[in-house]
Amino acid sequence: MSAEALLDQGSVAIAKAVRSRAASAVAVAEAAIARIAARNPALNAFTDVTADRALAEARAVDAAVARGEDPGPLAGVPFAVKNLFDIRGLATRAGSLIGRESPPAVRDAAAIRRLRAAGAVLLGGLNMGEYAYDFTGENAHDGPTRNPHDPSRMAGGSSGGSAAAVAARLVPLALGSDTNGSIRVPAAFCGIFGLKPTFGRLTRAGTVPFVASLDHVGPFARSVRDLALAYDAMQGWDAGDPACRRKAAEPVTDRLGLGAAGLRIARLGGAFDEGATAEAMAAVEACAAALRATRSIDLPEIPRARAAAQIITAAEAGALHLDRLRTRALDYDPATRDRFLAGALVPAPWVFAAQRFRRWFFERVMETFRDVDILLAPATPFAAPPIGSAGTIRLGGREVPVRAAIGLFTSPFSLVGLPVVSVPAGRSAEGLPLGVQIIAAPWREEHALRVAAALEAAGFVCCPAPTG
Amino acid sequence: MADARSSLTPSPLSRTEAERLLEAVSAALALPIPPLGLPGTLDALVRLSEAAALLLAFPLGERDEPAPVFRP
Repeated sequence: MSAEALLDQGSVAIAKAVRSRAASAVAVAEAAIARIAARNPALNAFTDVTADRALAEARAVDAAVARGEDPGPLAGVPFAVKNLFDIRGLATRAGSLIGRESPPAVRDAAAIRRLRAAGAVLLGGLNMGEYAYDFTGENAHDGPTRNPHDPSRMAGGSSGGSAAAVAARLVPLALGSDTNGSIRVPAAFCGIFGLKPTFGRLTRAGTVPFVASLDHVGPFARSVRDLALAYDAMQGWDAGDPACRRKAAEPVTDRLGLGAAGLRIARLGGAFDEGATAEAMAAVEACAAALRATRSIDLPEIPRARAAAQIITAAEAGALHLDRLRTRALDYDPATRDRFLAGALVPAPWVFAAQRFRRWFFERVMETFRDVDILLAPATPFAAPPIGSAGTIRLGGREVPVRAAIGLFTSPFSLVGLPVVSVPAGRSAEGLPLGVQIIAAPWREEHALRVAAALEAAGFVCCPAPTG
Repeated sequence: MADARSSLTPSPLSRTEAERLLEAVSAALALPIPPLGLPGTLDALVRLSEAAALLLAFPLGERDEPAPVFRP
């Protein structure tokens, strides 16, 4: 199989070919570099391409194979990272003007080092919403990432470049971060798989923080097996991230074949029915029907869970940026600046009310998981809106701002740190991808990934080919 | 344990109240708000006050602990 064809196949096929010497890692890296050069100008997914480094890493992988060594389960797999991950030798942009003025990173982020240790090859940094305070994938400094399924549409954010790069088949694997939905939203808008693991599962060391008590990192891929391979390669405690829990790795890749057997699955109703378009709900219904899940469950106080996420996000982010806001407010993206400024002004009792409610909500959610193992919900209320959308949309009988509404269904679950796989499930009337969240109890990533694998194996979820 | 809900539950801030909060806190923090960002910051502050009002109206007791726990 040619390196071009392998890029279309994905991580599992590339690693298998490289390990068996059916293809060289260098040929795969060269194909990815050529593809990025050809397709990225229309997408604006990559902000930095590390071609020389990628070729050097690929040569090292091929040399290891030639010596009879195993470079790892991701041997020769090209990947790229949201540009808030430190990349040795590059200034870490975090989507900002200010970040690109910082000195070059002296070391790769821990997640990059772990993927590299598994044999993967780094191709560069990816576009994102400034400082991750974004659901759109737009950026005033670097321009918007464009959706591979319709370049006039948002890629979603804040990890928009990550999702677009994978959906457009520039790389089979990318990393992003998710504070309120920034992996799940772009995965849904771009029609690919994304995993937001349990809070504290994967190390965030070497990434620019946004909201320390809510930030997660995770992978994007075009198949569940590729997603699981990357997730497994990044597991394990890391002293460099204070939130990373001292848990042994719990590999899932070899357990995907167990599918949904024995898992109790329900779809979420209530606020998730009321606030979604009919086509977003239809995507959930189709997944539920495929899994023979007939139960519908309501979680209490979803509007308050969103409010708590909103307050904690604003206050922590505003406080984190306080020094920069004092001196360089006008160097921020206008789309984030005023929210950072307002967050810095939030009274402390608002924040503690949000954090105390967060504990209460977590306990109610855990009561729900006594009766079910998996919850299904839309990833977003609607498919990708046009870039630059600034108006309102009517949802649940109310006019709500489009940009804020994008994250309505994702923020309640990151608030309580649950693992969620976003799967591509169907298309809107306009032909755009739709996503469904597969939500599991804390530390049960395996359950969510097994259900995603079952839906994928049965043909109910798959990544649509991009247009053009 | 939940307490009885207070009859003095805060309401979302009016625009004027948000302006007063902004002036007081930005002075206390030595955080100048650039004129270009003033309307948007006030809008965002009013939206945050709407979220806060929802949360402050929720009956929680003094023994309901906050979520983030420092683990030494």
